[in-house]
Amino acid sequence: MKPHGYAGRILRVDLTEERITEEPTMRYAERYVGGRGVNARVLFDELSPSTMPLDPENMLLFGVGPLVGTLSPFCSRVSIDTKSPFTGGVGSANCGGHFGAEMKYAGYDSLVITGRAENPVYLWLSDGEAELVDAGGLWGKTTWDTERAIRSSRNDNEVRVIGIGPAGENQVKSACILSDRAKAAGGSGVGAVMGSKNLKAVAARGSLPVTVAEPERFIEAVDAARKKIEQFPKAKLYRKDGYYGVESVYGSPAWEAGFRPVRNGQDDYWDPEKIKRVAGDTIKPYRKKILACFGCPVGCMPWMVVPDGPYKVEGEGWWNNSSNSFCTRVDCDNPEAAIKAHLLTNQLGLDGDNASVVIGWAFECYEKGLLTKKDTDGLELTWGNHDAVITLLEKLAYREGFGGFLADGVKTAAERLGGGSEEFAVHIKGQDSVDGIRVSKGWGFGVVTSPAAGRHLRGAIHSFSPERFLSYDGVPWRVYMQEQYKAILDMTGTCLYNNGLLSWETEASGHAAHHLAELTSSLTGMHLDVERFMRIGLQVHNLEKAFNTLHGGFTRRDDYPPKRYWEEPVKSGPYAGEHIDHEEWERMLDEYYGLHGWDPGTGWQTKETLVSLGLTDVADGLEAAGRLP
Amino acid sequence: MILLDPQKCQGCRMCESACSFHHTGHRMFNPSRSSTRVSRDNDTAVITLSIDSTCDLCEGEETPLCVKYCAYGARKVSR
Repeated sequence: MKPHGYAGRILRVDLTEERITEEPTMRYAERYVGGRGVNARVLFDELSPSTMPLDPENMLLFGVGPLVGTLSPFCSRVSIDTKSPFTGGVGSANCGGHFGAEMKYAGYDSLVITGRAENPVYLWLSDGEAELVDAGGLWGKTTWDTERAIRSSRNDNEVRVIGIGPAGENQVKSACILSDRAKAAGGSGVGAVMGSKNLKAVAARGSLPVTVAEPERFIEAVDAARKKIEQFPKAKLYRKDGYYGVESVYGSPAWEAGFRPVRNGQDDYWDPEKIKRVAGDTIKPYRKKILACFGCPVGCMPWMVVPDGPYKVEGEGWWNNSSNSFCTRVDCDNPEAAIKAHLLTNQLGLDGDNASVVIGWAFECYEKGLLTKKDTDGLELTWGNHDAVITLLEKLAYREGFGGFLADGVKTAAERLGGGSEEFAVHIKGQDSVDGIRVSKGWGFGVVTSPAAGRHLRGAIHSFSPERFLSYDGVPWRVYMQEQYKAILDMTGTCLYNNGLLSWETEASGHAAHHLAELTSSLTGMHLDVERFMRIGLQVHNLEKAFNTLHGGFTRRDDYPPKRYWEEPVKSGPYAGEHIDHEEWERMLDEYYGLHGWDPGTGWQTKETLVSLGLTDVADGLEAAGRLP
Repeated sequence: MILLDPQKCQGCRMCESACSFHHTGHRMFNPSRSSTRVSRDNDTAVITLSIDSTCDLCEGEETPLCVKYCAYGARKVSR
């Protein structure tokens, strides 16, 4: 019988052999629930450390959690996991949209993809049938044209498509995977891995049900969560103005608390006159509508229109990070150029966060005379030159000229160029990192210690009061808890964003762990109280950590901020002089490893801790490789 | 009947899930068992809403579930 809350099947596709098989979801989901949890386990079990990220043998997993495709609020997410081309450690990214629910209705909870197709293909999923389809005619197309073409060939506008653009095809490290033309699973080079497999897209259409174990209890849990969401004052505002429209108004902590590094991180505070030109409230005229992902009662993503002029464009997408990537980072205050840049990255299948890091670095190299027009195909990479940013995004996606020099990420580019450019190449464990981490200490510590390296979607926590976000006190414990909570979100398929404060501590959102435990238990019939759920979250986090130790070779040495943020303070604004205190950082690391039961000297997991988490086989694997302290 | 306002709809499709929950006797979710459809044009963001003849105004429920679960005020019961 099909398990409640699940499609019931994991699809395995070997692209080299063109072999498609299935196995029961519950083989993994009973222990790891779904989504990222199942992906992390399969990846750890099956991928050899000798496999390189762009080898055919690397695995690319798409996982949808049990809450996706139901009435559970905010549940649309697809977790995409692989071995990261940036770090050689775990790669993990996720996105919303409507693909996840459709994949489940088409009959699959997870896709495990290996091998490399001889010629470009896309994977078609429909009501328990899976088929590889020739995608020769799609190769080279943008993500938008790919969706149009697949829907047209299927004569069905409700087909949902997730896939890559030219950037992924060209195995550019900052390539992402997009669903619904706009929802990016960015970071970890997931798009490059998909491109290396000659897999252009996955398209789904389904009509299979998701059954409910205890319907009345489940609906009660849905209603309780919805009630909580409506008590959250920002819910109404998000619906009206979107996340950016609310959180990035002029004067908000989003601008002042150092989240948006300026000029490649030379500073974390931007000229107020420039902020005003791209702040949430001033960008309103370009916003036509706010759109929601599947099952979201709030909505966050705007449909943007630049009606005329050189940056004429229309499409879904603009996010908080866009004003970092295409504004502060390159010191550009032209809102129309920035909107154009964001929508262009969606079309090309580039992750804006990642792409802008290497572009910002190139601008700084130009400023310092390490690069000249002779190196940049004639482009003047002067701060504020938004035309150059747009041209570089195109070049990057196609590995054309100077774009090819940047296409393997900032660490590689800096190693190639040398001349001291490594000093301001902002990466963590090799992953280009967009985040500003000097002001908000919990944010910084979470970003730096994340196994999905250099990213804020693991343990990073933030609060809006300066006394709290400037303080080191309690940070390790809060990060440790947030890691577990975030794993619950990613296992069930729940979105992090609309809980407003981005934290497990947020009660107002309906997202607190007890709601998710009740929703998941009543849907699936599993008995998941908060304690058990958080423990599974901890197991998943430890699986990824072990993958990193085994595949990436990381140690304590790799849990430090990029050199620039370690050594240079914030230069201006209300938090001028704010910096990362070295002694405090060491103390936080000791405390954090202690909470996890990891060895403070090496940063590695101990046998005792892994055994106590029920991960004895993981400990055995590390021991055999000589990676236990 | 149910009055629809596609201008207010933001396309989340919770109405489809709620409708299918009703039609399957509160046992499951599946938009293909829904009487209502949300369709979005990805070139223009224009949303189209429809209800077909299988709608029974949620007979047996306190209020039509698509109205109850719409968070955007895009659906109303006309009396």
